[in-house]
Amino acid sequence: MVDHTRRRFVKTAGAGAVAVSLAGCSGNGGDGGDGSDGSDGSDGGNGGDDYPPSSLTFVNAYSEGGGVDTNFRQIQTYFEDYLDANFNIEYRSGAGTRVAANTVAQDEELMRIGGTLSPATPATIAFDEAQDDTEPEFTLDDLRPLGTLSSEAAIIRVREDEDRFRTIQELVDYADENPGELTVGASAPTNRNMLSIIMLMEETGIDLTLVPFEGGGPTQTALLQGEIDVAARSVYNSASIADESHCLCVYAEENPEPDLTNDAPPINEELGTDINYAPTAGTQFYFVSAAAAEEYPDRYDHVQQAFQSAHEDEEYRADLEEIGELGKLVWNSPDETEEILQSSYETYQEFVPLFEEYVQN
Amino acid sequence: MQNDEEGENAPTKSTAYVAVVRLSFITAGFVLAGLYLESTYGRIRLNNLYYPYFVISMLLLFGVTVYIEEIYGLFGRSPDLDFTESMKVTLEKWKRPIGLVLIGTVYLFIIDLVGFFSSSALAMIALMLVGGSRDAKQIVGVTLLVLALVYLLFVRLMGLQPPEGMFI
Amino acid sequence: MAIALIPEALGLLLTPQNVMFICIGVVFGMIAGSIPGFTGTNTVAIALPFTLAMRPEIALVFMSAIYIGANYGGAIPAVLINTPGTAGATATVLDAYPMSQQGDASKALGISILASVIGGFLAALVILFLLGPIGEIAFLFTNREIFVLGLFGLAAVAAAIGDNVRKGLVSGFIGLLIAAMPVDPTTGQRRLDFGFFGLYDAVPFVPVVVGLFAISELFYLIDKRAISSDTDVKTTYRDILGGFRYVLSRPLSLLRASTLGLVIGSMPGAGTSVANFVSWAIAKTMSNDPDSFGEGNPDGVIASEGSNSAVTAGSLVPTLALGIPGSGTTAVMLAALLLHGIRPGPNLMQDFTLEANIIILSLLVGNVALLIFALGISKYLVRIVTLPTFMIVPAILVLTVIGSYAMRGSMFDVWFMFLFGMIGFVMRENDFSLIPLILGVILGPIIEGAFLRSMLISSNDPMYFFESTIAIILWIGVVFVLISQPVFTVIRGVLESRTDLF
Repeated sequence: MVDHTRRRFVKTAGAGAVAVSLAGCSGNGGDGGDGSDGSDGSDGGNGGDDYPPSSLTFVNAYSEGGGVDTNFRQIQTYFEDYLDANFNIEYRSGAGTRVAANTVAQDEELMRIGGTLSPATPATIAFDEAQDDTEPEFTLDDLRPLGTLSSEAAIIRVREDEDRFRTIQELVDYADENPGELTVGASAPTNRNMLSIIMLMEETGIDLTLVPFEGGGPTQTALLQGEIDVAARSVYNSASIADESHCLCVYAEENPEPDLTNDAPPINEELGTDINYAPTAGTQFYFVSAAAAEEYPDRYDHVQQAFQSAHEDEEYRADLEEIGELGKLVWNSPDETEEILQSSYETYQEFVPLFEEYVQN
Repeated sequence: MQNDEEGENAPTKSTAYVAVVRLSFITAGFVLAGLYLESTYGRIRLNNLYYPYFVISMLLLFGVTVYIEEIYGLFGRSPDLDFTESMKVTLEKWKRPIGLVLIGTVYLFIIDLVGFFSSSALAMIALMLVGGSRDAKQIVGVTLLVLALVYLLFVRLMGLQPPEGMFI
Repeated sequence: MAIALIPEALGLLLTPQNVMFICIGVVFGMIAGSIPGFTGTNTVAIALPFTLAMRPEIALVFMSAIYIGANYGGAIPAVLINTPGTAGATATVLDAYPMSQQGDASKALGISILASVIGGFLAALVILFLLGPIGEIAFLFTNREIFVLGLFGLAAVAAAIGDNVRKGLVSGFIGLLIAAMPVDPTTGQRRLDFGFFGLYDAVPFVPVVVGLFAISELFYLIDKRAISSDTDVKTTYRDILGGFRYVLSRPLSLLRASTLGLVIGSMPGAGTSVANFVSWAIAKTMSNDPDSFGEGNPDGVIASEGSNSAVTAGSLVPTLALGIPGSGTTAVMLAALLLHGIRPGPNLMQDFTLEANIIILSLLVGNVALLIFALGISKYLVRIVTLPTFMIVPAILVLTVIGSYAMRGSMFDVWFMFLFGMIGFVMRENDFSLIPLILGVILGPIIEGAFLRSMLISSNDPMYFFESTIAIILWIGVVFVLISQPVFTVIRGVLESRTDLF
């Protein structure tokens, strides 16, 4: 367990937060889009319109208490300060981030900012295209990123008292001798953590039994309970079981957070494999509707600047440093983020057959 | 349950009509099961289909027995009314509920067009008229009161943004 | 739990400021919970920013108070307008609303209040002393045990359906089939969602329940004068206190309900929506007069409300003992801890024994606050059942529309609710019970997911489901509830023939 003095930071960070949040909660007034003139191109409002309104909406593609929620709550105060507006939070979890992405994509006034993960959101487009009867409701062209917030590498965890294997090489050897015996849990059937294991199986030829759970929490619980042997997780989102589990490897060129991960080696280095790390890393990014960004470039610039300034804010970074999570912050400009999304999308187009082979058959 | 309320002196409805009403729910369940089979069979691996197909077979098993039971119960009736007459009697009996369905449908359709509060006001007024109120002051008063309550609870307290359209 | 710490924890908890937080939390939760569409989870999430300036344990105390309030709030519309405000109050509707129709709304509300308060209080007392051991048992529940537990829930309700067993089973299997329409839990492939993203990964539960109960009731209500057949009922505290007395005269029912709620609530993955049904079904099965359940039997209200408030305490067990959220609401509470710089994990309890004590003790205080405030407002709320229906029907329609919308901000859910309102009406007209369908929709995903994962883990070995002690105990429970009704009937028949009690 991480040391307990850390919670004190909230009293400094939180005191300011409350004043703003109180206002945000009670006074949003529903000015989420004043409606009548946005769509017909009467864009007199590009300069000097009264943007931002008192509150904007943050559309979270995941549920209450999850990773996107926690990250947003940490940066919220700073983001609001630079933005000069408060946030209402809407949780639009569902359909693998499609609901949230679509909600934001249809915003005509730039009143909504979405928060989601890559590759999850770009991957949905690839998956929808691969299904015969499904048309993707949005494409990457409908989303305009503000930049990335954080990124975390995939890792493999086993129980602390696991004695059959203590390194990834031993795990591979064990699985080689006992094909199909080891069960590996991941938080969903077709996500990046599942992909990290599929790639391991592809590269080494071992046979593992894949068990998709509903969310990371249940996956970790199952690992600790001994229901499964291995959990495919990521660096920061598995920090709560860092003491009860043992990390075997990271899917990154170098280990970003040795303290949380038993100083585990990069998987390719240890196994001599050639696994592509990029599609297994989880990148949180914020975005707005591309159409609205084009219609109101000044609004977009304002929001984008505010996000970037908050991301760079010294106090924000000090807060994170105090709880040992500064390492998760990763900045990419909007254009760079667009490239990341595009590359995720293309990568998952290639990977769809792998999921069909390993998970669906 | 409510069927009994028809009482003893009401004219007996046409057998075909009663059959349509009685069997509608199970039939809808059977149709759903059929669509389910059609959309999943051969597409999803069999291991994952055991559970839903077990549910479907149980549904069919018990559904068919209920079907038979209901049809059996229809023998030996001596209906006073033919199919259309039976329908008219029902429409007459369920006048207000049918009004509710119509108003509700229109209400949901126009929420996205004119906004939640405007459409709710219209729906409430229409429903009170159907419900038999003719007191204009009362109608306006109740509408304003309920919408004010909704605004306070949902918008101010809970921070929800109701759907908006041309108006609010 | 270190009992020695209780006095110290009490001292830290009972400051005027903390008591005020508890009161505010309970009232806020009660209001939110009484609105269909706002659950404990999203209400606690709404309040999360307010808690950032508090000390972490006080933040949790505040959130627990909201949780308690929301859990009770769900009963208010269940009693008065045939709509559970939260999933945990669904079984409350079954007897409380018929009581209101018969002119006993005050009594029903009184029963719901005191059953909730005592049920929650007892459960909190138990975990104050037995947190560790219960947590250890809860930790043994893997997918295998959750699967059998789900079957147990289904069996308990199936046994309690009553006269129309086959129609009840048809309704239940249609519910399970509806629940199996979204994406396959272990392959991620879409199934029968008709292309709607609103049905992609789960069938939205709130619209189904609100539609089946509230909207279908509107079709009958619109032809009546008021909800209560007796529109002259005086809303006095006498009847509400009469409800209190009734609860106190049924200590065993209350104890049973509270125990069930605590046990089911403490298992990660089961939760509120299951406990109240199981408790209601068991109360019905064991009753001398099972046929009156669902027609306005006050014992049905005790069974449901006594159990769902115990779930609140129960779901804190894995949360505090293991750092594993026992429900959606406790997941948000753990996220709040993270924002306070505490990493919740399996060692939470060892590292924060005093804080955990404070939180559990706050449940006791929170339930006392609930009693006071719920009693305070109940007299005024009861008047709803005597208002003319031409006012009530439009008001309920608008409130249910915005309530269904609120959950996910989706008009799809509103249409879905309306559709289920019509389905509910057709079902009621044809004597199909609504309860099995709802239970099928709730339990379906739990059972199916747990089943599929267990099959993957065991390489499709069915014997796997019988290879743990807890699973075997649960299997025995399944068999017991299925045969107990006929057996009880026989025993009762024998006893009645030998004695002249009746």
